[in-house]
Amino acid sequence: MKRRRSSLSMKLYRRVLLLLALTGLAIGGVLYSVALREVERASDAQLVNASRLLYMMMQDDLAAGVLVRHDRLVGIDGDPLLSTQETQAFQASYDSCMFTVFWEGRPVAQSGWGAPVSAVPRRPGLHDFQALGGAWRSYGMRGRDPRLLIVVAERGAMREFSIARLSGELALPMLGLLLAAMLVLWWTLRKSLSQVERLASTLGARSLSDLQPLEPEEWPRDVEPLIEALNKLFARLENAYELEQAFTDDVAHELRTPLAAIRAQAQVLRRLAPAALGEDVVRLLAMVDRTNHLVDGMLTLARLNATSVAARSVDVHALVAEVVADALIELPADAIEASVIPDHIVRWRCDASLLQIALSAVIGNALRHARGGGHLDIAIVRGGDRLIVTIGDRGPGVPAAERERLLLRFEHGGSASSGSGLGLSIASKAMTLLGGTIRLEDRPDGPGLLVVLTLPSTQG
Amino acid sequence: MPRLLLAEDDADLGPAIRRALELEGYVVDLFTRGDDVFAAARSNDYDVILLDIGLPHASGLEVLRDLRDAHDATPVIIVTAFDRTQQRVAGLDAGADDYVVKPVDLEELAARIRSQLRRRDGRQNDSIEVGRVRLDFTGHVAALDGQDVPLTAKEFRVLALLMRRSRRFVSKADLEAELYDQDNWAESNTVEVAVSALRRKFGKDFIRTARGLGYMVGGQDA
Repeated sequence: MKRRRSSLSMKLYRRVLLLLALTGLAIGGVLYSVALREVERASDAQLVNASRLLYMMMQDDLAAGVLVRHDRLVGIDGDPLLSTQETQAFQASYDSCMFTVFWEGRPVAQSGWGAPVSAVPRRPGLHDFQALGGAWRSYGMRGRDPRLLIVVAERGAMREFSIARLSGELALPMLGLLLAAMLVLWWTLRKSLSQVERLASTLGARSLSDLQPLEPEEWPRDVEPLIEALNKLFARLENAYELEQAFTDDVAHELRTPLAAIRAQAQVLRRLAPAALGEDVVRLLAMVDRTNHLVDGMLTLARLNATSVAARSVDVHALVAEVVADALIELPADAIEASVIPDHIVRWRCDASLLQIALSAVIGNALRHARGGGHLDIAIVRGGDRLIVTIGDRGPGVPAAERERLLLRFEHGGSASSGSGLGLSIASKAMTLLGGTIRLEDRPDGPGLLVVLTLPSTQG
Repeated sequence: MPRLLLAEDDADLGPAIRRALELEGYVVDLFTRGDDVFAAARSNDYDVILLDIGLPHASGLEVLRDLRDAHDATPVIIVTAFDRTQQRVAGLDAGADDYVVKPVDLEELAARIRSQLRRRDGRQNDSIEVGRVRLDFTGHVAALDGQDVPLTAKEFRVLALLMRRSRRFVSKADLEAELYDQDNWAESNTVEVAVSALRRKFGKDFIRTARGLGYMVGGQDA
């Protein structure tokens, strides 16, 4: 299974988010416990208030004197200490409370609905107890007369309800805060990491040969190690390029000098040789020239790897004219009928020397194969975002199956030819460096090969 | 008899070039070390110096600079295997008069030597030679194999432009522009008429043509 590539920003984001969530939870926990205590305190205060109210309602009768009759505490006048109205009024004020009044330890008055009298703690102060299958909390209050004990109790469920409501109210703003923090965090991260993207696009916009070191002052300190490493790499590449250039120069010198000696000697021989040998000497010269051509091709190909690409506005028509002139000058005047369409300037932004190398290779190839056909037809066509140069000959053409192979090094066409086998591979390499393509096709208007060079538009 | 200094350290190439140039009728002194070249050039009066760049003991460029610093104006043709543009520029900047890349064609080298000799004789600006045709600007005369060929004014202008830009295509538009500032109005087929007249006088193959490119002189048959 393929492992997903890690992202620095995602990792950082996840970690900070985790920290944020933990902090949020901790704050929530503290808030919750504080709220819990406040709710307890408020509820307890309510119990105390309720018991005081009851005591106040009984105060007058108690002052006058009380007696117990049929387990009921009654006043001097024989009426119960708490009338039905008073009980109802109490329940209206404290709707979730119940109460019991004890006289000398015996229950003598209670709220209307079934109070769990037996379970109620008969002591002053705050107490928790279990009754009717639930938790209760009670407050016991002694009267001025110590025989009187008023106990008010409340179901625990009532408190839980308040706490739940409070938590709900707290949770929403907390969640909103968390979401807002997430967004701000993500935005901040992206903004800081955009420097890395800027670095990538700066490097991406460079041409193949631009090995200038980056200016460390222009970048944040955090990416300085990266900039330094890149600059070291650039320096090493530059060095490697220079070594390669020096090597190709050495090869050029070493191979060309002995070849020049052979050629010079052959030319001396041609002047002095008796007529019978004349043709052999001419053939010898042709062989030397072919070897020279091969060395030139190899050097061109090797140098293409170390070539710097510099696009500028080029008159492609003039470049074609120059290349055709150079190629035709070596041939008898009536050997080739050449034509170029159009007959005026065609400007295009590209690297002039690379395009010249590609054109020379393709035109040289066409002339070697078109000698029999005697035609060289070139068309330069601007097509919106690209420039197409077609070079057609009237030679034997190339079977479709062999076309790919011909673009490789040292591949000759089917016929015995004088070429080095490098021409089209040089053109192919140069077109790749130009960002373009090369295609071999049949001529649509009869026999022969059509080479189609396509150049992309480059931004200036 | 013109005397040449040949500086070439390759044991095969040096003697081969000397032999070929001797066959052309020159007296050739061959040297293989840079310091020897400088000493010989200072003590003898050579007509042209052929200088290889990769010489031992003092590179060709060093020798050339030293010669120019010593106010020696002998024409120098650099003959080298280094063919990069910067190297050509460096050679010409150092004071070379011409630059030939190995493997040099000996006939071309001989032609360039002749051209340097003519320049030395002070005839450099008044005549051009392309193949068998010679154009003399002072006398407004053209010659084929040394025989004068009479030309009209238009033919002379067309031929002069073609020969000044030999081995390159000259567009029909450029030729028309060349004729336009004549007193006579250039008609649409003036160039074609002049070219066919020139072909009649100098041979069909002297002026090449290619559709879309124009006309050109120079090259194999010229």
